Amino acid sequence: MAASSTEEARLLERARAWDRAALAEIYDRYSPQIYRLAVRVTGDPDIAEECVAETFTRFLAALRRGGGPREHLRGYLFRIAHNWLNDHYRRRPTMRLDPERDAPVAPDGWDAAWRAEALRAALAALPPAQRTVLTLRFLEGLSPREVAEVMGKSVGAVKVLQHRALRALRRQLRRADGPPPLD
Amino acid sequence: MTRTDPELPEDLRPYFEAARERIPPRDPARAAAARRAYLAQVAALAASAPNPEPPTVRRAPRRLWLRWAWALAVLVLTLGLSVTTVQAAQHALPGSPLYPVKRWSEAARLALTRDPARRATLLLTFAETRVQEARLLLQEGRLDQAEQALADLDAYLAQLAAHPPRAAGEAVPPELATLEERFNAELLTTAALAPPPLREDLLQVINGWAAQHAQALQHRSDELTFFVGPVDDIQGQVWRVGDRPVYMTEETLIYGVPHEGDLVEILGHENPDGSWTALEVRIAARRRAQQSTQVEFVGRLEHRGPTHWQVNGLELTLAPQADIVGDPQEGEWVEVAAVWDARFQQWILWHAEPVERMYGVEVEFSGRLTAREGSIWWIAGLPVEVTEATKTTGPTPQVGDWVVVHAWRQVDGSLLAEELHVVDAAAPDPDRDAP
Repeated sequence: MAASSTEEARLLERARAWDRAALAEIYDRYSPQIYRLAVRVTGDPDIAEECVAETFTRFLAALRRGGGPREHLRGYLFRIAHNWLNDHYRRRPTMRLDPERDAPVAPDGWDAAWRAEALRAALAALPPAQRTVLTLRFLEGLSPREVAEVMGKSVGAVKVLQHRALRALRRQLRRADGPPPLD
Repeated sequence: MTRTDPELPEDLRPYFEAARERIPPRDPARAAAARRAYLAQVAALAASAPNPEPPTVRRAPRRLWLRWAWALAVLVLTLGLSVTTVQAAQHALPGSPLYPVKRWSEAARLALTRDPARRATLLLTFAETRVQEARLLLQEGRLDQAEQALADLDAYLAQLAAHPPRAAGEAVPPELATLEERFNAELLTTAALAPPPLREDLLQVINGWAAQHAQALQHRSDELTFFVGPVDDIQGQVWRVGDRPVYMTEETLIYGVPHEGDLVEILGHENPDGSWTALEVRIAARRRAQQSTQVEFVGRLEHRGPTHWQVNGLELTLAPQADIVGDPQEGEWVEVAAVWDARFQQWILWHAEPVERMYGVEVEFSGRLTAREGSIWWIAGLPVEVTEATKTTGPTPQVGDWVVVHAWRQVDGSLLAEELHVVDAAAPDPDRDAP
């Protein structure tokens, strides 16, 4: 749940003064979200932990330099994570997901498990910007405006990207082995 | 949460709902350890002083004659730096007493150069020098200084990005193209030599450079076309396919996971320097497939020998009864059909015929719908033919709307719309998606 902007602004002000309780609160509030985003994008808990650690290290470094966000803390942290994840994919362009790493699936949950895995594999095959827009919009539930802030694009550009990404995603899912009919 | 986000199409909802439910649980022990590490970082940074503003130094007033004496001394020293010293410094490495002279001479040459093309050449030359230095330093095991050289390299590339060497539509000057090619090779060789942490840094530089290079080529010809060729090399976003550089951008859709040796189809733009910017990459055939695979594609006939042809970098063995239509010459475009011979691991060419270069190819772009003249709609300044078969998703397009167009470019260059989708009346970046 996003914090109200005044509450967040107060929290950031305390963080700037290096109030440890505020810095801990920021971590407790947003690190689970960053982890969730990273694990959804990569499907790899190790990389997701690395992403969380790197995101908060960069956040602290920015605050220490007198930089960092003045508002929209969540968007700022998501942006760092998004950039890190994109760099990560660029360094490992052929990285694939490993379904073996997933939690065991109950027999009655197989269909959902298959769909979740198919989606993750299809997202992994998309270009980074398309993957990010779909993850933030439809998995993390960010509004187009929030996604635009994270990605540094206009709302219109995000909508174009989203449309294109949905088309590409549909094509990817059609290519997956044995999918149920989509249309 | 947007569990029923209206913008998420109905057929995709089950996938997203399933994925939202199924997140591998976070290991509580690791999460706790990560939190402890973060709090330790907070404590450590609290103990260290924050980066202070540079202190203001209050200087004692100097006497006028002393100032003049300083100026004179600097002048004499500057003149005293002979041409020989500057030349000798050109081979200096970081850490050498002459190295600052080398950097000073570079800065001076840059400062004195106004012509954009000449300046780009200088920047690229100096960037290449930094890479060469990094390589020599790596060979000597001086990692810290190699890292510094790479940081300086980044600065040059950033300057190059800020002042692109060529205007829209302008071809790359041949000497700059050669320099760029050499620079790419230097970077890749140095990355191969570097130990893992530095290699990561270098690959980032390579990717950044690739993205920048691709951006510099945004003026690329508006002709969207494709070619098929073997993947020679994959280095992040710079690939070599059929012996030509292919740049992957954020827009590139890569279907499947191509590996070196696979035969891929690249849909994209050919750049003036002979490189390509890919929009889509599809695997036409896997390397060393154990089963016979057939491919048909259009490509440039690069070599025509009595028993072997080369088309788009792909070596093809002529079948004894090959059906060759007409008399295609080297440099011409041909449509070829070949079959993979799994036993002898070679491509057998069994049909070839000369073709016009362009086919109907799939294009996607977005732009403002500015006019509707019967079946011709003007979108992004382009005439697009809209027929009864054209599918429309979202609201009915009105003049003034921003529309995403999925179309086929016909042999005559016209665009036939397959699908139109109204995104928004608010225009996104208008430069973004012109086809």
